[in-house]
Amino acid sequence: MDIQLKKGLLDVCVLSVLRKEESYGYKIISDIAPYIEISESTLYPILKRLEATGAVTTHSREYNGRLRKYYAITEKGRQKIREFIEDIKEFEKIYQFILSGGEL
Amino acid sequence: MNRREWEKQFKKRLSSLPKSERAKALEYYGEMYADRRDAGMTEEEILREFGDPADAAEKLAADLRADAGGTGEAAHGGREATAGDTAARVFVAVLLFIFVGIPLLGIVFCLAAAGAALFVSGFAFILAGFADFVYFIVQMCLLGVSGALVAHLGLGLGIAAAGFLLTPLFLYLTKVFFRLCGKVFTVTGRIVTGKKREAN
Repeated sequence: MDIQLKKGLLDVCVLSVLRKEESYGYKIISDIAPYIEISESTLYPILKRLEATGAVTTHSREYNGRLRKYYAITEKGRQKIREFIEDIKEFEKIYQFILSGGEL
Repeated sequence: MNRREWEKQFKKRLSSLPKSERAKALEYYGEMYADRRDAGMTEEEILREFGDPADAAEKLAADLRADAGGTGEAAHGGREATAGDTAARVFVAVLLFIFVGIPLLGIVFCLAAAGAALFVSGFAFILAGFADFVYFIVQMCLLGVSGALVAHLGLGLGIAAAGFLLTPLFLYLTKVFFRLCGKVFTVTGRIVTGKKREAN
């Protein structure tokens, strides 16, 4: 898959996981892994980027005697998901156009 | 490879990032490790999942740089170096050598020379004082004792004494100058590579 396309998809995948409830690094990877290939080194810059753009907020909470960082989606993050869904609808039209060989 | 070795290599490969960024990345991997352990994985399985530390660090640093620059992959490593790039690098290297390298070598040479001169001059003082003293002892033996010769003996001893007093100071200054030589190199290196103090 194209790197840029995958990057954009992963951003939304992470946000989607957080839409249900706040989550932490390992759980996010476990939730996404069945659908799209993701590793620790891929997720880290995504989380940093989402935090920097205000799509998620973070806080640390104690778990099992250690601190674990939790990520929660913001309204800006939800908006990003909605925009992505709109984009996909556009893509769907283009996809159909390409499939039919340019004859719609 | 165990966890500590993995982290060590990972950290080494992230040396281009500021210290605080490196610490955050390590913290992230530390948390991931702990969570995978809690999920029942062994150290070996986890490290296999993490992959090669050099690759992981490389990928992470490249992504962070791309985000920070906002220029994507193209600006970093996405493009092969061309002959023009090499020529430009050689040109910059020559310019650096002429306008930075040569003056720098001049400064270092002068500092070293000043240091060496100070080192020698302290001992030269003592030696000159004693030579003066001995010379006039011989003179007195040959010509007999006179007030002028005794005064010269005193002068010789005075110079030697001044030498003894000044030598520690000169030796200290020699050390300072030699240290400055080294500092000139490290400071210039830091300026040329553009590395922040924090990154060291």
